[in-house]
Amino acid sequence: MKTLHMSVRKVGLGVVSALLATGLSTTTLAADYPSKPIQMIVAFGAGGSTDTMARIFAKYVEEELGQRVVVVNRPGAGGELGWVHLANAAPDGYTIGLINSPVVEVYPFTREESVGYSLDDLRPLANVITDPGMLVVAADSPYQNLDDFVAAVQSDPESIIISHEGVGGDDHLAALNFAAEANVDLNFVAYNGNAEATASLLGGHITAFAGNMSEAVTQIQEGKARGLAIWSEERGEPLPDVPTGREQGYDVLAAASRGFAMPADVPQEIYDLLLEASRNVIDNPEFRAEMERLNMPVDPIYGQDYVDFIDDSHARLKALWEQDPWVEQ
Amino acid sequence: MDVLLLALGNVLTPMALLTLLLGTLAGMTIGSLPGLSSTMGVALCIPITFNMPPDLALILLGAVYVSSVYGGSVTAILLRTPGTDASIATALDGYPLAAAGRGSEALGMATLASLFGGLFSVVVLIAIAPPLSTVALAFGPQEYTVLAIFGLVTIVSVASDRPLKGVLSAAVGLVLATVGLDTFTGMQRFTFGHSELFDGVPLLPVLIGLFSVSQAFNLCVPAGGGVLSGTAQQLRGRRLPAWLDIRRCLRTMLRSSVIGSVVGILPGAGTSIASFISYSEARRHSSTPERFGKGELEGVAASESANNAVTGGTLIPTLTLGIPGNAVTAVFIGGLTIHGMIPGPSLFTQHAETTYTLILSLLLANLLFALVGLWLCRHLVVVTKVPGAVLGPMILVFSVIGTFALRNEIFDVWLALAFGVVGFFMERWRYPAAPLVIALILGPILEVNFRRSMQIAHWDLTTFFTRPLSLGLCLLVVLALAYPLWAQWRRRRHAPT
Amino acid sequence: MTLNTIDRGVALLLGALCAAVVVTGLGMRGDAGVFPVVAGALGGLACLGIALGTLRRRAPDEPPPPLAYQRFAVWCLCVLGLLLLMLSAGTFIALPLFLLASLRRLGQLRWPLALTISVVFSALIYVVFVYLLSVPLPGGWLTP
Repeated sequence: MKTLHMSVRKVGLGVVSALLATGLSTTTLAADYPSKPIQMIVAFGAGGSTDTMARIFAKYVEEELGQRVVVVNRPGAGGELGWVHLANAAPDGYTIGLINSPVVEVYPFTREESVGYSLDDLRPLANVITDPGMLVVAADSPYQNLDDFVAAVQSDPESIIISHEGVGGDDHLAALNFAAEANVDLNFVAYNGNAEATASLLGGHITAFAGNMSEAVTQIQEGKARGLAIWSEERGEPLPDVPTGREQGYDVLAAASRGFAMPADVPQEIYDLLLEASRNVIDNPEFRAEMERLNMPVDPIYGQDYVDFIDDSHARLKALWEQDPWVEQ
Repeated sequence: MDVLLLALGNVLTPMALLTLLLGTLAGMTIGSLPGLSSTMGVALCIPITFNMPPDLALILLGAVYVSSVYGGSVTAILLRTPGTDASIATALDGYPLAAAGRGSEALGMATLASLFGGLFSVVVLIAIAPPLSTVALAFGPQEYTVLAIFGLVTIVSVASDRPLKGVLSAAVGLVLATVGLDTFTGMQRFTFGHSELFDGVPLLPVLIGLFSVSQAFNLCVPAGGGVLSGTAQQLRGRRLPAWLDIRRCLRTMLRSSVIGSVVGILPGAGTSIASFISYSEARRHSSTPERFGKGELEGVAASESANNAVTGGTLIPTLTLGIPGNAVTAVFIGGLTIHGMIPGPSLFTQHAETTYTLILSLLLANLLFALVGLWLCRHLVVVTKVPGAVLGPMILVFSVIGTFALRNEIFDVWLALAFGVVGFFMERWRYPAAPLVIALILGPILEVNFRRSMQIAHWDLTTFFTRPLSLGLCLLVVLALAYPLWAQWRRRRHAPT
Repeated sequence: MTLNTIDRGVALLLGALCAAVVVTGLGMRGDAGVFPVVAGALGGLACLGIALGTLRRRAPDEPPPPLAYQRFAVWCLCVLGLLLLMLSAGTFIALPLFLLASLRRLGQLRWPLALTISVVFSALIYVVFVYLLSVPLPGGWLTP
């Protein structure tokens, strides 16, 4: 049944590429672009943080392009389903999508046997948000910094329980990276989302929470939780009191990034046009203000720089994986 | 108090009332269509609220939320097509009532029970939200494990006349619940390489298949089929439930509202646990438990007051702690932060006026959907007179399109159709479908929390009995299991045939 | 076929499946297999109980309610046709045709009524799902 659906899709693709081949040059396509609504694929469910960012971005980019931008949620398989749809979409500029780094880079090797897309099928356009990873404890926890925490893990490894949101996600990878730096073994418990994990942390059921800054800001600002470290090069803007891992002698850098990508074969003119539009949106102070209110740190990386960013991260994580896979096959 | 008056002023402006009315109507429609969940309804409204003042935005979101939960009961009762898992328990007794021509009465009871549950939980939210929010934190993985077991025990009351078939149906549900990528080990379990199954067997397509699609089969396949069974083919009974019936159900409504509010506070639980536990508790306390599942107004009242009480409950941790009580309120948090309101204690101080506007608008939305519902029920019930072969194709179309709309995935549509055929034959061969769905909902909650508890306690099973809260829940489970057996034994002894 | 025969068949089939689940679960890494094993075992036990029940209990055995095979077949064909046509020709060609076919053939409505219902109902779906909710339903031939 699935194959039928796929073959219909392939026929559709075939028709488009045939049209492209027979006369209809890409310049004429680009000249009146965009002449119909643009689909924005979000690989996560409606209402999540990725979706919220996408819908706000869509609102601004609509003004830039003078055309409707329709957000389409295609959640499933931790984002993979949405990226498969994005990679297989017609490269005519009418489909763009959000990609979440580092997750989008790791599936091609962690799910090597079953993954439905390759990084070569996607052309990264612009990164918008970089949400650094954090290690957070409850406010009444005895641990004030990473050294305290590591000492506690060394003396009684079983009593320290640390949450993450799924094996192989950025939180898990960051914590593993930290464990390797500190040369300890951490006792992980998986959670499905940050709501349950936060409740468990504040209720004293777990010791620490490995998550992202945007998820922890509220609880830290309210004085209910304390950040032990932030895994970025500089301290986070809303949390000036939380030291970085490097400041404390642990060289860990980890973040979740969200940006836009298009199918790989998109015409260069359309790519440039959308790049320009993205630049204008990201530079728009109103957009910045909305992102700030949502605690989403804006971190623009454009065009080729973004492509390189994804490729570098892919190479680095793949090397890590080949050294010591975090999911046993 | 001043704040409440200010908020009241905000709610009673013409613009606010109009928003409230539109939100309520939209919510009722969304809730009654299969596949369109409350989460989706609220998420779809978020972009609309971008350009609205915060007061109106929250009024809209709140109205859509509470009325969509109520809307699910309408189709669950009249057509046995629950739109979301929250109204499955409603269908168990509501549909037999509709089939007997008493649809209007059942709808009336559902409306009143929803109103009761909704108002109860909003009052709780206004009165004691901050202290109650600690409940959300007191529940650790151990407590969630026992709570999920409590929910599974309710299968006993759903499948009481064929216990073995009920257990088999539940076991199939539990097996289906293990499908997907395991969050603990990253291992693929029973996915057969289908990435559509990595997140597990999607619940709503299965639910829509087993209930709505199979119902379309039931209506279309027999010549001259329809909702109203029997030869008379007419609406009987009253337009609204009798005062005696309402009074009889008051205790059940109160108990269910408490259960709903408490379960709503727990971020990891979900609406359906509340309605199933309430349903089973209502049956346990009833003097005529054998009438449950065959058209008992009290069953409808239990489920509906519980699922609407959840709405207020979920907002308690959302507003006081910034921890969303469920998927809908997670979307809510997004809506709040966009308008510069960070969930937490500051909502009740710095932004108190807007927060109380939201809470008051929830009260009004409850009243509004109840008024609309009570007025509509005598008209809506006409649907049950439509010939089955006309209703069936429409239900099928809604199921197919609604399932697709869930995540724009055609795989889910095939899944729903397959489960529709399965559900059709399950009913013919007298295997109850509800246990399968209950197990599919509760299976993942049980599994992840059990494994979390085991990781925290290093495989020491006594951890469930050494924590006071968890021990208390364990005792409740034992009580819920043992009481029906004891009652049965006593009845047999006292009334030898 | 009586209900007891059917139950025996179901028990045999699902029992085998549950056994397969248990075996697969035992081979899983870490604690990933615990739940499949428990759920499979529970299902296996229930199947055993059902099978024994059909053998032991002699008295109440009855055939399932009669099935109108012809109508069942027609309906299945209509539904299958709806899905296949939706994917090839598009949603808004498939919907009215499906409604028309099933209302005419199963509902025995007269042509004008069946046609009106089909068109109005399809239009309603279009307004709600495409226009209001912008669900990307398969467009098929109608997409430009």
